[in-house]
Amino acid sequence: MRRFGTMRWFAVALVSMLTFAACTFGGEEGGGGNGGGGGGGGEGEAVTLTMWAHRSRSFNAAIRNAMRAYEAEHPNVTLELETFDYDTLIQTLQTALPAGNAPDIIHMFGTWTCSYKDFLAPVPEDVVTPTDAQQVFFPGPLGGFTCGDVLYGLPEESNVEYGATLVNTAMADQAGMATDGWATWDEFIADAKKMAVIEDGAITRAGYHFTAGDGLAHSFLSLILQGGGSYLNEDGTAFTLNTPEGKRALTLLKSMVDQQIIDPVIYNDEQNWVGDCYFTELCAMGLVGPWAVADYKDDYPEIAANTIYLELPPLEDSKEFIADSGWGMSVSTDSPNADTAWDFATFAALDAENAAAWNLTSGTLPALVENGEGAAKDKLVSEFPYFETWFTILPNARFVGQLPDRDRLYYEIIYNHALAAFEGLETVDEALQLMESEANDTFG
Amino acid sequence: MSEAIGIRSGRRWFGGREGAQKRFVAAVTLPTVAFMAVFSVLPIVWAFALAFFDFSPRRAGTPLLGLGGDNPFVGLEHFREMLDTSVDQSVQVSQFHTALKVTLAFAFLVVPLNLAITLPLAAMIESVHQRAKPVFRTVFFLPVLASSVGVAIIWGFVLHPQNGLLNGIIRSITGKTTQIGWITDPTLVFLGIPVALIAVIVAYLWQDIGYNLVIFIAALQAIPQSVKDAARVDGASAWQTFRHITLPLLAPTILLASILTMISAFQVFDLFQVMTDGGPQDQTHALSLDIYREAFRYQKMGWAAAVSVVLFAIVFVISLAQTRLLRSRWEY
Amino acid sequence: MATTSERVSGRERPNETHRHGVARYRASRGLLYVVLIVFGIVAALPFVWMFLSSFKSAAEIRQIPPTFWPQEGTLDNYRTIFDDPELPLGLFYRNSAFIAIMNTVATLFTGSILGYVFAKFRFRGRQAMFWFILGTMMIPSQVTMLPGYLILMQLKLLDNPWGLIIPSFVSAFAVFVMRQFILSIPNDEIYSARVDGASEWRIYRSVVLPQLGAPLATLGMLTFMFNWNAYLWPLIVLTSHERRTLPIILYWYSTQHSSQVNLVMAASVLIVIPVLIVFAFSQKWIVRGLTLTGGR
Repeated sequence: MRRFGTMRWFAVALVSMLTFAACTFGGEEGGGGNGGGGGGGGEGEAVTLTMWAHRSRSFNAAIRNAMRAYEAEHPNVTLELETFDYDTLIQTLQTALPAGNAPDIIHMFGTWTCSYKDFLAPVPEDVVTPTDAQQVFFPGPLGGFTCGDVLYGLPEESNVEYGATLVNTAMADQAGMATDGWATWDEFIADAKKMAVIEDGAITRAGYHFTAGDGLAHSFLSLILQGGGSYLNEDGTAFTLNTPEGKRALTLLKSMVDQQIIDPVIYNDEQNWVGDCYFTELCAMGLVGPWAVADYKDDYPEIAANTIYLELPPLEDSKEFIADSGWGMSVSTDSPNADTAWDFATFAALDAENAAAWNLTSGTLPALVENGEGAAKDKLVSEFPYFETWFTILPNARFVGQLPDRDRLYYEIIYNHALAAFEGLETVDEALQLMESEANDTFG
Repeated sequence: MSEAIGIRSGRRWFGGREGAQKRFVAAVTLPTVAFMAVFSVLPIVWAFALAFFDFSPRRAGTPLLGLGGDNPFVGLEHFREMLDTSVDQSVQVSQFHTALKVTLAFAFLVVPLNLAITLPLAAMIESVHQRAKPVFRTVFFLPVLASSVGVAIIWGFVLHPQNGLLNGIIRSITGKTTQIGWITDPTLVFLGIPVALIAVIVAYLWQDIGYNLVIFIAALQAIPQSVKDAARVDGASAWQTFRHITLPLLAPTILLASILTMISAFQVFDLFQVMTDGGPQDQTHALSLDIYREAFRYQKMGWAAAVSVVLFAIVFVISLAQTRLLRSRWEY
Repeated sequence: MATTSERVSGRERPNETHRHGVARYRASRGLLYVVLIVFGIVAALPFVWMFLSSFKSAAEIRQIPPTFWPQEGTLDNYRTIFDDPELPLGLFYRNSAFIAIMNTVATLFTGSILGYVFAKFRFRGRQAMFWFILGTMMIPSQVTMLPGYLILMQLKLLDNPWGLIIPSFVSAFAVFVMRQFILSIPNDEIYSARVDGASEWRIYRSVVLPQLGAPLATLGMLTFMFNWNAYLWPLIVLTSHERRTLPIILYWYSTQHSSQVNLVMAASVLIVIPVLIVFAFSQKWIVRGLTLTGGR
């Protein structure tokens, strides 16, 4: 009789489990989506749209400004922004999109778009056709949002993380360095050494900070390009990093560490990150895009006042550099209010004035050709002078390509092995070999 | 009599005074069983099942817990891969091996160090003046109450290369510029153990000794004074009393504490992520961190589940071994 | 006249032994206190350092060599944090409090009522079920967190505080502790209440519960503290920034302001210290709970 009692519990438990499992897994996902509070809104019906974006003070401010401006013009629409840590955003997108829990609008990073294309709505023809888009947007940012021949979002930013470096003019004057650019890497290294400060063998001020995650990956891949090589094979199905050009690139970077321009143990992505380092005067020069200046200039106005961007020297003749496709707006296939969502995306990304305002607040280069030339460009430069050098070199930007796991490649594979090579834990050849094999793993 | 028969017949099963009790029990236990089936049993079963599949939450599988279909059954494949020590093992396997080493080193260092600190400390605190006891106990117990994220951040700052307390103290002693990257320099190794791991161990010990300390203090208090006095009368010194009377009486507590400390040490996550995030160069890449990353960053839940099963097996075996080992030594 | 001490010859006189012993005793006591105080200072140092650093200006915190005592104490860091629109501490305190309180209440309720049922009632499968509940305590959290996440995903409870509350309704630890305690409640009171015609729920509420003050306080404090400081599971479940709890926010803030350690220290003080004080005052309950079962 005792056993019968136990069996009874066991039966109840089993039945509960099976019922639960069947109920939740069997059958369709009952239409997810956090947005669409008011149903299929037409004009005049209250509509609520949700948008997901990564957390960043200036980017979030820019998005919110656009949202408030749109709401002012369309009083029946409410826009809500939910923000996520960068890493968490990636994770969340990976689980929410397939599960049908996507928001209406996603602030998407161009280079990621093709991995999510099954869940993103193609840009409607009446918003912009793919052919028109090629006239309206710069090729770099557009490249990321295009998969095959279909456009999956509207870019807002021309991402740039290489080609020019922050220079602290006060420190340069002190070190007797001319701020007119460099013709060769030897010149650059000599100047960087002048600005580095070493006490008792410890580098208390780095000459040039390039060992953050973005800086390192962009430097490495761009230098490969500039050396005449390529980091992907012809059909883009495998990485070619363990090549003479790869070795040349990594060796150049390592030489800067060896000459004590920077100590990657102290100055890297986790500690003394390039923005922090530069604006707290622990770095004389640093490799980071203009959006960092937008983030830091309010807290460090004096440093920002003494900051200019100078072009980095080319390896040989070519000044090409890789650029990611930057942030932009995508609409998910789940959204019940796709029309309104695209309307907002158009308002924010295709309207020249709004787009320019967004670029100014976030410190990013425009994706719209219209804003990158002529009077619009001059206006942007006059309000944010740090754009100037970047505009000059923008034509040299090459879209990095559709990478299977861009973040893993940049921030773990290239970053970890490059640092290992700099710190002497791996030889340059070993590092290149491991980089290539691990990078090719990401295709699998 | 008829009532007694009535209770046994189905119609009046839930009637009467006894029936009220039965109703109460059923009302409490049945929902509990259902609840635990879903939130306790199902996860355990599912975890062990996942280990035999190649599962990613973004792919649709069959309605049976999402297994099968696009999430194919791979049998013992994951476990076979874990045993692969060849040169061309995949990244996730080499990360697993690293994580295993790190976690084992961490646990086997933390437990003896913890006991070596908490036992004497408890004895010392027990022997001070009654008023002073709670003061000392509070000071050492406080870190337990703090969030481990706070602990990681504080220690991260103490060990900061430029602005940290430790380098500052060294600098004031040696007078030379000290920018040692305690948790960022992979080339720093002490007695074969990466300094970064030692730093995490120190931070963890700092937070953790409070637990065992109060347990040992309570156990020491439970030893009747008469026993200790008897030993004194017989001429035993303080040390002899401790070694031959106190310690054996504490043995069960020590055993329990060491097992629990070991089990906790295997599951530490917060400190590893917030203080070093597995770095530098994976020197503090513990198993819990590995599971988290594989599952949530790379969406490889089947593999992560397999690793977690291995973790469970290790914890289980070690607890068993510890129980056997220590119990036999103290038995007489 | 010979004193007792002088009459003893051939070995050290008892008086001197006594004095010698006392001196040695005093010396070793002194050493004991010194050692404890030194260790205590070292143990308290990180907290003190954090507290002092929160009053240093940005420039001072970056000074090399670093200072210990703040040279120019300032409340600016705290002001910045309170004015920071990106760090609405009130919101995050509420998030943490909601989850911690709901979890505690639920755990105390289910623990006490299940403990009562297991302690005072006989029914079929009681033993099996009790040991089963205990058994679930043995599984490390890493094993169940993956399927736990998948279950919440299916229930659409991700990014929802209820996703943290509902799965923890029943705590095996609480059931165990409560049962232990309730076993010692005399049965007579319950029986007489039954004779008086009270319903079972009434008995639970009016007879059993009032006697559970001590274990409820202990379990309550332990559960509250555990939930308040929890990091990994909330990190997995709560994805959007606005729903997150304090430990996660502290880490986020420290990465946002990694160059402004003074702000990070102030934030740490604001997030860690208040509850620390609360917990320190309820130390008695927490310690009792730990020593009862060695439960971590």
